Amino acid sequence: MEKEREIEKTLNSLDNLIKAKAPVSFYDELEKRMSERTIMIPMPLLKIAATVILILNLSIFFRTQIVELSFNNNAVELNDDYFNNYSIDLESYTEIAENEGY
Amino acid sequence: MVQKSDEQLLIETGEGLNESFRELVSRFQDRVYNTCFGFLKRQEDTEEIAQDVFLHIHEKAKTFRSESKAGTWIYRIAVNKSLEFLRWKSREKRSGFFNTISIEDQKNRSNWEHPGIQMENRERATILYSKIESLPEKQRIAFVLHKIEGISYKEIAEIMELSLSAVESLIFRAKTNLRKELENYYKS
Repeated sequence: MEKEREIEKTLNSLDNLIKAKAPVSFYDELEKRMSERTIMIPMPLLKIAATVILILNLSIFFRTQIVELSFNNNAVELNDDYFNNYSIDLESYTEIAENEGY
Repeated sequence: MVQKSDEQLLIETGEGLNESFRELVSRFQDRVYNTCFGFLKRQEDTEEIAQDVFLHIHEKAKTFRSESKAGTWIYRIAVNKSLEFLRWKSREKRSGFFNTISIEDQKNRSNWEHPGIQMENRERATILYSKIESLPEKQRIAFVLHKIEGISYKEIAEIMELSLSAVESLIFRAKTNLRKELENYYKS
């Protein structure tokens, strides 16, 4: 019986509750947070900026890679020319040598 | 001068009128604060989330359709923000494996600091509140809105987008579950 009464009292303990009130400074604090929010850079803008920087970096990276590759290819071509010319020179030297009886 | 309706203030807030927003905040700040308190228990959390509610209102006022009442719309945001915060907190607690919670913090979490409880009811209300937390989410929302904020069943039905009979059933089941929980509590 005592237990039943206690349960009933506990169940009704929130009756006649005086409502909680927001602090007096509520609006001022809210205004402060709103002004902080407007100063902050919006997230979509930040994402766009990050993407642009990434694309620029990638394009610079690939451009240097392409330049390096083409430079290396040119170097190979130059080397081939050199060796071809060199072999022509050798032939002419052999010819001279033969003519001179060596 | 004719006082503007809540809906009118909300529409004007969406159009960027700061004076209307200020008036809207002064009309609803206590109701939002008390509702959030009903879910969050702690003053610091309540202040932060009640402000989040108004920041959301300020941002989304343009999307308000006058089909529902402004009060219903605002209460819905307050409930959702409070529950979002509780979910985030419980996730944080679960993921914070290495975090230690101080004894003081534990004490604060278990106590219900609602300033409106009469002294002689404080202990009982704290017990009841710990049991309310274990209720299924919908029962908890309906019960808290009715008991803490004193909202009618009809308005709760609008806030929760349910029928009136569904709300009646939710509150009935909440009371039955609480009674069972309290029987176990007092037995032990």
